Amino acid sequence: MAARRAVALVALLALAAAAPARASNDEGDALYALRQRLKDPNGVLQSWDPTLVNPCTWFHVTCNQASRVERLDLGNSNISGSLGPELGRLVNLKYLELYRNNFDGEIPKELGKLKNLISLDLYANKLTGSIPKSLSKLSSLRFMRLNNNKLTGSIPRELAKLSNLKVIDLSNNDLCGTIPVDGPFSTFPLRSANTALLFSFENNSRLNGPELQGLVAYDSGC
Amino acid sequence: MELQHKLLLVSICLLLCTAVAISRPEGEAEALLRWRSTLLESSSLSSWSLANPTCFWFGVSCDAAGHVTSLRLPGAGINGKLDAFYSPAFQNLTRLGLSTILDLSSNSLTGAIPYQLSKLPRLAVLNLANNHLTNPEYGKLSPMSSLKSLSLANNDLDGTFLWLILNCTGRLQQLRFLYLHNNNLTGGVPEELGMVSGLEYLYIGNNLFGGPIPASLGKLQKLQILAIFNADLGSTIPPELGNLTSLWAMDLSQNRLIGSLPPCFAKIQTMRWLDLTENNLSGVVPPELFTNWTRLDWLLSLSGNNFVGPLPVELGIMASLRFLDLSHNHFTGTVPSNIGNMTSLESLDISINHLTGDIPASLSRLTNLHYLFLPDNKFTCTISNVDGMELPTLCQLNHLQILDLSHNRLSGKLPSCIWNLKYLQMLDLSGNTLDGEITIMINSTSSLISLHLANNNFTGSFSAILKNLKNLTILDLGNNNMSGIIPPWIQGSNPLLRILRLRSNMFQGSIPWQLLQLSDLHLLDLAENNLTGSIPNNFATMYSMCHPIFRKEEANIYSSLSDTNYSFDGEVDIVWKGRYYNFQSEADFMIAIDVSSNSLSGEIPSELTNLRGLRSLNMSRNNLSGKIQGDIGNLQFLESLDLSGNKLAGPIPLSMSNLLSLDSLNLSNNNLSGEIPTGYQLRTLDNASIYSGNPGLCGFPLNTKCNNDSISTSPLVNVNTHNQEYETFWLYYSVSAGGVFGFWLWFGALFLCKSWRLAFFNGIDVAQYAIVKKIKKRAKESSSI
Repeated sequence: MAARRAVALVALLALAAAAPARASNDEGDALYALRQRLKDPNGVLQSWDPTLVNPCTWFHVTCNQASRVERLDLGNSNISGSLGPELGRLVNLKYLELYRNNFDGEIPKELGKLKNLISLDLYANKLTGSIPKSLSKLSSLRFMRLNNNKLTGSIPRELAKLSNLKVIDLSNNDLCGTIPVDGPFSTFPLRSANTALLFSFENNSRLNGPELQGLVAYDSGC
Repeated sequence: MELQHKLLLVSICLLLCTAVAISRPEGEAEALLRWRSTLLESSSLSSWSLANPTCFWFGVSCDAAGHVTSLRLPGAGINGKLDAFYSPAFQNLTRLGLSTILDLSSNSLTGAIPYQLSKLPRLAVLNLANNHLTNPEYGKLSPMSSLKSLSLANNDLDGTFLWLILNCTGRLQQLRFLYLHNNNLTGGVPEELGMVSGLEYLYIGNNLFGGPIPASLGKLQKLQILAIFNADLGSTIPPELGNLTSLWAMDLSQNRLIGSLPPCFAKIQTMRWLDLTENNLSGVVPPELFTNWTRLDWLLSLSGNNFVGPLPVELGIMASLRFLDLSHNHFTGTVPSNIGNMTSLESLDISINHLTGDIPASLSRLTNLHYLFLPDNKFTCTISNVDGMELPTLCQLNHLQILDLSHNRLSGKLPSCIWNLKYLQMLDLSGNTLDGEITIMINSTSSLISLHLANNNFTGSFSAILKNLKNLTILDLGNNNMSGIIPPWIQGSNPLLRILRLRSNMFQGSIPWQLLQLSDLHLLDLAENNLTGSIPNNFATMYSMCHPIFRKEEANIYSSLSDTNYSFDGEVDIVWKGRYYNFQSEADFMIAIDVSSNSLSGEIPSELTNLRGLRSLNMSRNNLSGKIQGDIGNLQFLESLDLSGNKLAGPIPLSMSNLLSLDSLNLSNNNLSGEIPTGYQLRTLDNASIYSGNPGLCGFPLNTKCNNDSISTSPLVNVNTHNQEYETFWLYYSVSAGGVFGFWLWFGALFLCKSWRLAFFNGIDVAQYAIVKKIKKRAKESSSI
């Protein structure tokens, strides 16, 4: 269809129009909006064609049976630019793999809408700002790896609500304040191989250590 | 006195010099030079210097008296802003009574459009299109009463720019041409546009206007072209537009227009081009439109709406129309047979409707037809062979380049006259119930490039296709009942093959090694056949698969309608990540091999890992044995890998963790053993079922733990357990070291030092003697009692 439309558009007095995305599907629009804001020197996103009926034939996108985006795998792709609120529209997303790139800017709070997210891998980028409290709403989350970025601010204690969390890695950032001790974090800092939660908070020079409940007030904002 | 003379001379000089400087040509020149000095890039303006007369400067035009009248610098590679452009020196242009042209289009100008440009009162043509300019300061705009042509297309204008321009600049009464397309304008199309009574061309598409089409536009009696496509317009089409008696082109495509086509559009007798593609228009197409549009000779597209009703018989009146697209609607009934009267038609698309009945025989009169799309209807039609009673309709369309009759209910045999269509490049008859063998006469002149016959009931072998269609790049015979072998001469006869899909047939024999010599082949699908033997190993010759493809195929079909080349290769179903997907032009990027569900045996060929561009590899459900190649990690672009259902043994190679694009993996039901490698990407493939049916496998994500504490390749190890392992290790080490040290200290001394030894053994003797003495004494005492 796209090719046939090209005939008509070109014929109308050769307008220099870049035909914009007119996909009637929201997830394809969201992903294309993401592509617009990114620099992609390796051409990893070249197959992302917004005129297609859904993004399921785009490389690095995996859909489920109902043609909804379940995985986005862009690890180690030399991509730069910032993440935007459009990611929050991929409501069926389970795996968000954006690790080892040059993403900058903040982690969008809209990621908190991804109720089905199992794995959030944003590690080894240049992300700044603080960890959004909204990430505490990711009730299915098992893996949160935000290590090796430039994140600042405190670790939201709301993250203790993530009852399915198995791995959290916030090491190599610039976080400050205290480490939550509720919920899955309750076994920190016991050094046991049998802890349910694997965690790492290393190399955050201003991180104070675990919250001392009842003794020291939780410092929000540090 | 001398000093006073000098001062006088100097001041007179200064006066003269400044007088010279203010004189008109130099004022304009200096203003232009001053602007050029603010630019970041202006190498094309190197001829601009005071040494040259201004009128010979590149881009400058003058009148007979030598005054600058226009500046034309389109595409001159200028990078910078317009802030310093205006100068009071330009006001002098007003006295000349000549109109001014300012064309700075297609450069890299940034920043705001200076409001001072509106002060050039004789400005007739202002063209700043194709830059990155932003909105001017509206409050300071002056009326531009002599402006005839305004083009600000393809910039970064936003907001209610158009409304403000119309209201702040005296309605632009002389305006004839307005080009504002490709910006971010919002706030609705202003009603005031209807008062610009001289307007001839209105191009404001590709914006975000929203709102309705103002009925006031119907007052523009001189309007020839109305183009507001892709502007988020949502309303009915105002019937007042039927008053546009000069209009010959209307493009309102890609909006959200609702309602039906106003019948009074029939009054627009000059109509030549009407494009209403992709809206939400509904209702029946008024047949009086076709009766009255006698000059409709270019394009009519109603594609992508909700029109209902039958295709009007009045269509046959439009004998001059070249391009007709009624696809993607809900038209019902049959195709009127007088469609054969539209003898100027070059492209006909009535796909994706609910049409029934036969393909009318009169279609054979459309000898100018280059493109015919009739897929996804319910056409029932029996095609007879050329030896049968009638010549099939379509073989008479001698100019046909693209013929698409896919997904209909065509039955019967494939007429062999199809292969005589000299210009036919793409043929798609997939998804019908055609049967019989495919025969091609040896002297056929076909130049077919792309052949799609999938999902039919064809039988026999495909040698005839291969031998006669030498230019084939895409061949899709999937889902038929074809049989025979893949011939070894395929490389010689069809060297241009890019996509070969033979899936779901009954092909047998082994895969000939010559198949792998097709250096353009990037998509090979032989799945679900009866292929046997081992897979040949000469993959290094599949050059197209050795690196990823980033450019779509060169356009191969020339369209005289638009005087361009473009590609239309049809569509192909590919099994990707475990599901069927329909790939269209994006199939050009897919590098994939699928030989699953056959009876192939032997090992996975070692040269397979040369195919560095591979994105999808499926060898599942065969009898493959041996190991998975150790260097499989070389396939850096591999996204979908399925080796399930074989007899593969040995470990999963550690290099698997280097596959950072892998997002779909299935190794189940083999005989693999050992620890499953971990890695940045592998740890996100945490569904245990992808490894099931391999009793020897252990490790994440399976529940079985591995026996040995082998060092995994996981990049993140739990810091705490790692420390603990170290502690235990050092504990054992130090204890045993201490024990060994103590042992050697003691016995080393005994061995090496004689005096020690003597003393030690002496001591033992003494102790022994004392003990024995005591025992004897005790025995004596007890025996004496």
